[in-house]
Amino acid sequence: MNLIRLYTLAYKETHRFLKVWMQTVFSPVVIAVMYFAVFGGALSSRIVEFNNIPYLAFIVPGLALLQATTNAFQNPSSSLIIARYQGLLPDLLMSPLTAMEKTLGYLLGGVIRGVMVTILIFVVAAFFVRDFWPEHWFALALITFLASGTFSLMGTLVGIWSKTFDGVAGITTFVITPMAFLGGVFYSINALPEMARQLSHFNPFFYFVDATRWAFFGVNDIAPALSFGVAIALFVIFFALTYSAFATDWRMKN
Amino acid sequence: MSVALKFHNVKKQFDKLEALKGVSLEIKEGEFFALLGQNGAGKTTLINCLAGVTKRDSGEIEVLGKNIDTHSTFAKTSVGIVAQEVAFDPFFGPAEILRMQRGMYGLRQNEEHLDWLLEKLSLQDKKNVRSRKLSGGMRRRLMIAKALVHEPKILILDEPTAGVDVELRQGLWKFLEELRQKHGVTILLTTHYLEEAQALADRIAIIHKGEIIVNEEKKQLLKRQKRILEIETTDGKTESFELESDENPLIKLGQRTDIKDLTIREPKLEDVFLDLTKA
Repeated sequence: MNLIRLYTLAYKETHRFLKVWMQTVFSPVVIAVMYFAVFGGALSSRIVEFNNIPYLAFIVPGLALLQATTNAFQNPSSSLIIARYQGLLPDLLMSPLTAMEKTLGYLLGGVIRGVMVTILIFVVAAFFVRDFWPEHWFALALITFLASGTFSLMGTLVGIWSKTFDGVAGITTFVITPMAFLGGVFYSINALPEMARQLSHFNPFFYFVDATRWAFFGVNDIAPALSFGVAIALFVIFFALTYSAFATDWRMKN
Repeated sequence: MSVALKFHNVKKQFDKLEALKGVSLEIKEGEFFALLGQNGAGKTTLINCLAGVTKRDSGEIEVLGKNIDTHSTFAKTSVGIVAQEVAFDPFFGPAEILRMQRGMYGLRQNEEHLDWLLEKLSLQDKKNVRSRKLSGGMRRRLMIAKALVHEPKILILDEPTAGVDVELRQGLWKFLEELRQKHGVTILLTTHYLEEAQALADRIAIIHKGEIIVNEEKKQLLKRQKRILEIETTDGKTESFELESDENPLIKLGQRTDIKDLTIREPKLEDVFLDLTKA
């Protein structure tokens, strides 16, 4: 692996979103603040507490995760689809970047964007929520990396797969967003009817949310070992899929 | 002279279209090689097979004696390709684009080389503007800088002067000559402009319907076409005669006294090209 090549791709992917920071970093934070204002300010007194945690505080880790993952997904997916439309994919194919360098480069771009969004949301949330302090720092850092990383890898795969902007938008609207919203960001799955609770276990996002909430508050719907185990497994699976897509130039060559 | 680029029996089929029907070609180190062909003849497909943008069906390609499949990194770093389509990342300015392009090839930054390239391609004063603000000519030049920023030994230009004004084209020709003479870069050029090939190339190949129909030194190729002697007679008529390459026109005219004016048309690549591809 050549570190200059890897650094350059990761730098490019990071620099690209920082150039338009208003829509890539600031906008997700503003959206999260809107949620704080509505659920925390206007509705919190009418919503029951989950696991003895005030509702506003309860939703903060999940909301940060929601924004981090959707942004981590968008970073490589939009980069690759724009590259396809602007005729820049040949640059990627002609360069000596290896499949591993490409996988890591796109992964890092998405992870850095996801982590930046997470940190900013936590900073803003500290103004809204009293005694806002994570219980398990290392676990929080790990799950933020795994969640942003997994979604960044998913975004890379969708970016490679899709030949149109509609393809990327379709996956975002019909797969990523519902998965994230129905993964327990706004509720504990224990509050759901039995059927919905069982179905939630098939939603990968649920494991990321539960692990994040455990890292933050020490409360959880399932055992942390299971949620972290699933998170690591998903990361590894999508890493392997993305690597093999690059290694075989899947859907890239004529 | 050793071989810089070697294509051996390269085949590519797109659905029912046989784009390359077993193309074999050798380009020597330090040579200026022009590949001519009409639209859809297979020029870009051949280059894309070398670039790794198109998957060839069969055949071997070597760069500086090494197979591009088994020595992929070596091949990719040895070649710089100026694609036909102008494409760059609109998020960045020329200098940033070039620095990133160099980094993608695993090389440390070299500001001296970057400034030299920008200077040579008249982009120095635009180095930090957003690329989408560049004019059409500047964009073309940026594409050439992009292909050269990793200091390749072989430069491939796929119709680099399409839609470029005369002044810019002349400037580019001069720069390509300099690259070859002073820096020993091997150049493969595909072009529609036959005068370009005639002015620059040592050797010319013509690809037609996916096949190389001719591959000769330029001088040899031009000899295929005879010189034409045209005379205007004193009574206003015009006559023309074909001349062998070493034939004296005055001897051809003998003792004629009715000649008012005389012109000799030298063989043009265009005539050779049309002759060979009209079938």
